[in-house]
Amino acid sequence: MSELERFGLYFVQGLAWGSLYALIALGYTMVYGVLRLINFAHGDVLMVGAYIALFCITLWHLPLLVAIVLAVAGCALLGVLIERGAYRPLRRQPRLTMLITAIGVSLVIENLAQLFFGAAPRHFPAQIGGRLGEGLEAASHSLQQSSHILISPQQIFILITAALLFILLQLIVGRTRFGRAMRAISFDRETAALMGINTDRVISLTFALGSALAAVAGVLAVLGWPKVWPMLGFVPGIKAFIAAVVGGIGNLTGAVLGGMIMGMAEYMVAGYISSEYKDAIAFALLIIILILRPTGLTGRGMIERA
Amino acid sequence: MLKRLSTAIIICIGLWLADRLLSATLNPYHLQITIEIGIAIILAVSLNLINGFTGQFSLGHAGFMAVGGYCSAALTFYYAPQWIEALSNTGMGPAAAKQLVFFGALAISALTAAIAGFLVGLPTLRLRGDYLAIATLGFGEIIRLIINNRPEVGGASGFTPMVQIPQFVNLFWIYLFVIITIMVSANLLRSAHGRALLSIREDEVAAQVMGVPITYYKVMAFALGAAFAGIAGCLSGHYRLGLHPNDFDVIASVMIVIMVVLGGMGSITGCTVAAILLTLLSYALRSTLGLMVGSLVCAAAILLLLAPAWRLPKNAKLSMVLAILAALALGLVRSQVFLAERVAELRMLLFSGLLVMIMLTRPQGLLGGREISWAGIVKRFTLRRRQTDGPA
Repeated sequence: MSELERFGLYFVQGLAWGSLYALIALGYTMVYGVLRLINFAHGDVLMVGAYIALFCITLWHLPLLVAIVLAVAGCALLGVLIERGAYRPLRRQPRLTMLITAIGVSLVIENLAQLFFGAAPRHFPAQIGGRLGEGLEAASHSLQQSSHILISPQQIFILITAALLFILLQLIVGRTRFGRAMRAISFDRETAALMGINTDRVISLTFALGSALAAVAGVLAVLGWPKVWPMLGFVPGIKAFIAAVVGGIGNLTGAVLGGMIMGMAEYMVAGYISSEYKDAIAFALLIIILILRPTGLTGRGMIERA
Repeated sequence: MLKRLSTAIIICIGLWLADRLLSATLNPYHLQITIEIGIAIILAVSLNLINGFTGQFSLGHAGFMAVGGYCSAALTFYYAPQWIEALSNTGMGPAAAKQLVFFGALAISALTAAIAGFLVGLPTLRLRGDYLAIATLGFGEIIRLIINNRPEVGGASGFTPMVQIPQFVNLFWIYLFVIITIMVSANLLRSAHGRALLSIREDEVAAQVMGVPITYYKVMAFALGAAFAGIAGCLSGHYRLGLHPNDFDVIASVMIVIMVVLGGMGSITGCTVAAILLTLLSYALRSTLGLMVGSLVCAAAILLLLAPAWRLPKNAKLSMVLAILAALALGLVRSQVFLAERVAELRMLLFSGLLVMIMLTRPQGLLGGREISWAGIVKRFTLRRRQTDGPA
């Protein structure tokens, strides 16, 4: 394998993981925008999505796209339930209380999953069947022939889906009434409420939207790396939050940028330096960005409000 | 000065007597629980310095514990024999030399943990609390990663080094450090530094305006808390004669957070009581029966206590409690085997459920920042008396 091909391999892997981080980071950044809360349970919603898809495919033999739709629906519901049950009663409490609750909720979901699904990893049948699968296979093959880029059909699927979802999200946040309400709340929640925005409903919908994205990310993740287990979402969730901070929290483009940087950095470190310290790079990135540019790459100066 | 010295001597004699008495009467299992309680108290009270007094949220306390534990273990493993020999050559008795060497290792491990706390705290404490949570969590994971990849300290299979130093971390030493931790944080709280910490917790902006150097104090509290966590790690490692990287994961940090939160953030006695209760609970929940009772009580308590927060009508509340209790009872009886296999998961589920429940129903914790003191108990008692004495 030539040096260039090796670089291409890491690049494609980094891009694929990066787009997954970006999808998860979008959910974090939206929730942080409306509630100023690190939703620790976000990564576990992703894990639940992966399990729903796993059961859809192995138990009920549904096609992949249907499984994704069901996972999205289930996770959106779960996200709303978490918000209603755990975060809404705490609206008037200090932010620290909500943060601790979020950690508790995350642990509850993880342990429930371990209790019911068992701690052992399960294999995810990572086949994209039907015409879609054939098309992706052909695309992967022709890319390898023409430009010597090693890219699997799953990776093409991940990249295309992530790009489409990001465009869709931009449209929802930028062009709809709900999106405008969301932006208003993240700018100033109390004033938004005074302007007649039903903040509770918008916050619930934000959780639904973020959890839906996490569900897609979960299914895509196990498509590329076919192992489903209860702690699946924990570390990717933390890293995706760091990606959101690196890109500038509260900013959709920043989340995508941060996710891509995170994925790239990990695979470059794993490929060229040492795969053992792959997980450490995320936290190194966080410390560096906090020292050099605390508001993130796309962030503007923030004033701490009391 | 004389009074303090005599207090210290009395405490030491009392502890020594208690140690002799308890190690003679308690069976080894109960003795182990007592020791674990002591370590839990040190951890909870030291996290309370960061979390309760200063209002900063650290998720890496187990990481600092690992730093202290591994640092002291490596020192006693690689250097203790030479040091003991060198000290013996100067005419010191071998027993005293061992104690001195262990003490040196303990001091160095506390210092190392404090430096680690300083290095993590300095860049992140300048910023908002959320980042500290993530950065400390990341720190804990990185420490675990480094330990896992270092064969010199046992790597992923754990480190069992303290063969040269016989197990002399006993009840006496553990509870001596429990008392030191509690006294340091109680005295700190009453000093000008302590008031500066409290002012940061109450209102950071206002504290800064009043001239409190907030970064300095935050980093100081953080490093001090980390140092005590390092001591706890050193004591725990030298008591168990072994360390394992998986004992210092995020779950371990969260358990310490649960102790502080349950006891009431900012309350030293609250944290102590919570540390005792939760350690006892975690041992009680090791049996299937304990778990069954625990989950039933927990489920009922969650529903009844959370109903107001979730704004359920009264009938719905009652029927939900009954339905869930019935389902749980049925399920538990049917799945004894299943339960026996998943004891650890269920225990952790109960603890995390407890955390959410405290936050939703009583976010200030059991004591809510107040302290239990002799004066307070006496006062309350006499007040009641006076009330009953008055005209009815």
